[in-house]
Amino acid sequence: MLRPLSFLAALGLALVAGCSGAVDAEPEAAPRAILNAPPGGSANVSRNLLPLLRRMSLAPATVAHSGVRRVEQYWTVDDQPRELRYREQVASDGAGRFAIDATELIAPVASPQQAALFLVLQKAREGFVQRYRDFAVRDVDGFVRNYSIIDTGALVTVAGRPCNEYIVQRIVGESVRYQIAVDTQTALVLRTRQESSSGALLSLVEFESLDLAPNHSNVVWHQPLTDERKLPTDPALARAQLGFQPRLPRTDGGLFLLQSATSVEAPDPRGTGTLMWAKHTLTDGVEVVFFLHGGPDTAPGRDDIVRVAPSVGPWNTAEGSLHGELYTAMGRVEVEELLDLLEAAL
Amino acid sequence: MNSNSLCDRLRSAWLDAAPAPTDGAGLAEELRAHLAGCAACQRALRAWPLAARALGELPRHSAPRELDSAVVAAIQAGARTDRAVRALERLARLTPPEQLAEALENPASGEARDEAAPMSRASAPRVLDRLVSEELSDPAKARVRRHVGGLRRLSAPAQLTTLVEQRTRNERARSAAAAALRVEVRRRLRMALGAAAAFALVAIALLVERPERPNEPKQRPFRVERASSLASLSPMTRGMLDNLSSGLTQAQRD
Repeated sequence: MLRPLSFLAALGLALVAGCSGAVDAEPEAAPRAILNAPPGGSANVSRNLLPLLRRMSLAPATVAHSGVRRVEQYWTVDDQPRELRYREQVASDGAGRFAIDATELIAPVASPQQAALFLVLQKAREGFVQRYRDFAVRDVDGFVRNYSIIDTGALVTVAGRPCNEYIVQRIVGESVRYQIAVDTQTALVLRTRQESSSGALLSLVEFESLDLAPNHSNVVWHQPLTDERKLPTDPALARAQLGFQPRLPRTDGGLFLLQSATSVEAPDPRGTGTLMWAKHTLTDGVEVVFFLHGGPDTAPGRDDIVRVAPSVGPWNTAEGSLHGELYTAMGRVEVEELLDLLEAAL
Repeated sequence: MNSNSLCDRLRSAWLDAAPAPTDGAGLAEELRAHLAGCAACQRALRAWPLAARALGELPRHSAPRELDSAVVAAIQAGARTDRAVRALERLARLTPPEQLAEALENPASGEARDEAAPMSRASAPRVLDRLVSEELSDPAKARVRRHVGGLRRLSAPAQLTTLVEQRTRNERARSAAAAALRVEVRRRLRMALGAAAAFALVAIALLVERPERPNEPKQRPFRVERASSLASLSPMTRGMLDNLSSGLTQAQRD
C-alpha cells in the first residue's frame, strides 16, 4: 500500500519540483528597501538610500534644534475611541541631551486642573516620548531588512523647511504605515503621519516651528526618573544584578535586534514589595518591542498561561507565567509576534 | 530486255562461274561483248573479287554452340523460319554499294590498284553484343519475351476490378480502425496520467504538513488567554502603557 503511495508522492514531488513558496525563507542579503519615485514625482531618484537612513537615525540626537510640535493621537483603548491633541516644546543640544515639555492640551476638553496635570505628567514621560513614541530609524540594518521606503516625489514645506516626503512600511506582516516629511538639510523628521493597516489615522506629529540655531539657556534637560540600570552582558554579573538568570528570546535570523538591556525595579504584581525585571528593548529597525523577564513566579499556576491584553492604539501586550517565571512582551507589533518572542525565550 | 536485267543476268552468270580467272579469256562471248560497253559491269566485276578477298581476311570466330539450337529453334518456329529464309535470300541478292566498289577500286593511300587495302574495321555497337549475349545465355527466355510481346492484350474481367476495389476498401477500413484505436489509446493514457498526477498532488497535500494559515491560531507550548480589560495587567505593564499612550489608558480608567 505504501509503495504505490510513495511512488505517487515522488511523482507529485517531481511535478512540483522547483515551485517556490517556503514560508520560512531566509531574508535576502541585499537591502530590501526601495527608493523610487512615482511617474509624476521627482526625477531625482538616484540618491543613496543608506546615508539618508543613517542621517535620519542620528539627527534627533546630533542636530541642535528647538521648536514646537503638534501631537495628535486617535487610538482605540479597550474598544473605545480616544482622541488626544496637544502641543509640546522640544529641544536638543545636538550632543544627546533633550527636553520635551507639553505646553497646551487641545483635546479632549479638560478642566484647567486636568490640563495642568496632563502637562506635568507628560514631562515625566518625556523619556518615553523621546525614545519610543515617534517614528525613528532606530537601526539602519533592521530598517533595510524589514522595511520599504518609497519616495513620493513630493517636496513639501513643514515649519517653513523644505522636506522630501516618503512612505515607510514594514515588509512582513500587517503593520502601520508612516508618511514622513524629512528635512532636506538636517534629515530631521519634521512630520509623521501614522496610519493603521486599514488606512485609519492613528497619530500625527508635526513641527509647527523649527529653530536650528536655538538658545538653550532656559532648557531643563531630561533627567531619568526610573531606576533603570544597564544590564551587564556577562551572565554572572547580570544574575548578580537581577537575582536570577535573565532570559532573552532568540533573535538570530529573526525580525528583531537587541537594542538595549537594562534592569528595572517595579512593584510586585502578586503582593507587596518590588520585583527586579530584566528589560530587553528590541527593534526591527523602526518599531520597539519590550521583552521583560521578571524572574521566578512566586505563585505559579499549573499550566503555562499567557494573557493578551486589549490593544492600546497600535500597542499590544502579552504577559504570563511560563515555566514558573514571569514574562511580559509589549510592542507596536502584532500579538502573534509577541507570542513568538515569548515562545522563543523558552 | 532492259540494260539492268542484262547486267544482272550476266553478273549472276559470272558469279556462278567464279572463282574462275577474270581476265576475260574464259568468259562467254556475250559477257565479253557486254563488258566492252558497260562500265558499271566492268567496275562490279573488278570489285567483287576484291570484296571477297577482304571478307576472307576478316578474323574468324567460331559460332557458339548455342547458336545451333537457336537456329534450329528459330527454323522450327513457323513464321521465324520463313523470315529467316527470306532474310537469307535477300542477303544473297544484295549488291555491294557503289561506294564500296569505288573504295575498293580507288584506295585512299595510293597503293596498287590490284592490291586490296585492308578494309577499315568498324566496331559493332556494344548493345548488339549485349543483345546477342542475352539471346544466347537464355534462348528460351528470349524466345518467350519476343512471343509475349506479340500476344494480343486482353482486358481484365469486371469481377477482378470489383474484387480489387473491395479488397482495397477493406484494407483502408482496417487501417482507419487501427488508427482510431491508437488515438483512443493515447487519449485514455493521457487521462490516466492526468488522474494519477492529480491523485499524487492530492496525496502529497494530505501527507505533507500544511503550513498554518494566517487566520488560524498557531500552536503554542502555552495556553493563550484574551484579557477582557487592561486592569488584569501587572502594574508595571499598565504603567508602561500609560506612558506610551500619553495617559490615554489612565483617562480610560478614570
